[in-house]
Amino acid sequence: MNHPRSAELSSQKWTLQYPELGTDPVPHSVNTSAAYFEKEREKLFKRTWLFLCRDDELPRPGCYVVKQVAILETSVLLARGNDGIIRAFHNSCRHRGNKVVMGGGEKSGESKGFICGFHGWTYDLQGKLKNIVDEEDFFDIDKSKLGLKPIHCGVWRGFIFINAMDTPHETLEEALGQWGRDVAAFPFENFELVNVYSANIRCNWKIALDAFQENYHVQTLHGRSAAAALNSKSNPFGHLLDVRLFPEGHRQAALPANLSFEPAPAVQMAVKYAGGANVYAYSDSSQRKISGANRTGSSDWSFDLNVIFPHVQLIVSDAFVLTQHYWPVSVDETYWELRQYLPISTSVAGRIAQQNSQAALRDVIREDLVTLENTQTVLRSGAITHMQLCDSEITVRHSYYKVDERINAPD
Amino acid sequence: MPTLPKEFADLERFVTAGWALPREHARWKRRVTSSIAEIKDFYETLLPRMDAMVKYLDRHPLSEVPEGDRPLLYLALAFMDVSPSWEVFHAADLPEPVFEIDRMHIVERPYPWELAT
Ligand code: FES
Ligand SMILES: [Fe+2]
Repeated sequence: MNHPRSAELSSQKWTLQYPELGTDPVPHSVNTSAAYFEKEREKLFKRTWLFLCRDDELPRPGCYVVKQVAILETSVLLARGNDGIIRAFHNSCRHRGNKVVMGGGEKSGESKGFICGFHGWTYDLQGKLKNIVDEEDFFDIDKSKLGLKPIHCGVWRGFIFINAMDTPHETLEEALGQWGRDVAAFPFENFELVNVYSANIRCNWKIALDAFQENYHVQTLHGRSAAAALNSKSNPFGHLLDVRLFPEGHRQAALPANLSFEPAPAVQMAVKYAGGANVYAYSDSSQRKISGANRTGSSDWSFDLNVIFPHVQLIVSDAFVLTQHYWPVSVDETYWELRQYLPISTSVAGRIAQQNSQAALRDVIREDLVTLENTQTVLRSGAITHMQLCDSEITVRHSYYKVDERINAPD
Repeated sequence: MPTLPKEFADLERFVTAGWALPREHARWKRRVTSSIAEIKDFYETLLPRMDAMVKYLDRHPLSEVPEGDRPLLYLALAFMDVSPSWEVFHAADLPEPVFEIDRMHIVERPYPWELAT
């Protein structure tokens, strides 16, 4: 599909180019229905390649990470073997099922293997069962068949995905499709992780994702903060420069920048110290080519807002990269985790410049976060049965459409 | 006892006032619990001094910042953390209602000198 860019062509609506989405109000009950949530678990999350984390969390052989993935009803143990390969396992001992790496929350470390703290069974980094305490006391036990239960695991551009099916319907490459082939060109290796924010939020995961996948709210919610850097006189509502919706469920929207915005003094300082990029300062992007982003080559471009289906936001620009996970916990609880990456810097000046972006971002994020529980609590009343979605919210519309498609698919 | 290089002795009062904090989360809390008068004083005093501070600190790469330079670095980072209060919000914190920062768990990267041990 070839969609013309449309900041100027504002009479042209993106939504009309995807007639399958329709233009009707979208039911809100899917955000409060426990039955729908269970279907999301069984028919969507348990059957989809899910982006779990980046491989920089396991930089060396022997590194391991544990993620508690409530929506899969499991604890996932990722380990990088001596062969350098990252494998995923259910973090559950083959003896009686205790967590091999115990505890809740995220765990990480470096080890030669794993010892279950209950009765001492040991596993190597490849998941093989190495030793059973007092093995002779068991009956016909075959260690070679009792390795940690693997989970399908694939890596794309340093992004680790897992798939909980015994036999996934498709390869990771197929699941990422054209979106993956295009975004693969983005130079992720030029960015470093600067911090991680997380919180438990009492809202449905889709309510959380929605607030971060549309930019219609920028003019109001970020009216004091980000709006001036993004929305301009010629594009006051921040109409999208480009939209692509992919059959696999991923989506991509290119957001505008206000090139005549004059950044505040500390931001200008940061631009000077970092030699360019800043969250609050965008320059003519037709002057610089960024592989895997700004597909239309728009000059007034700020960043691409991608959603890796179903539950992760990925922002890419030359100023910053963000991943935000919205992990479903229950119908009205979400575990939110944001990772901020900035252009790698080894100088003190660059480090100080990075701090400016970090400070700017977390204020904007907190503006977004405040809406989530405010929305969810009142939704429970059932008073609002439908959401009205404008063209700028096409990503939200696509999101509900794609989730529903999975829920209603034949078994 | 002064903690800053003598060229920056005039900023010592901000170290005394607890701004030279190594951790982002602590600086952030310091910011949102300040009065706007305090923010203004800190911001306006540091703004014209930042170039000199950065030039001084930039004598070494980030991996080799000597111990004696670190309080000055923390002040410079605090300046960036505080800047949106004055430049964007004209208030220490975002206007109500806010998502409380204590609900946000933060994992910060270590400084290179913290990794050495
Ligand atoms: S449950 Fe792991 S050794 Fe018994
Ligand atoms: Fe936002």
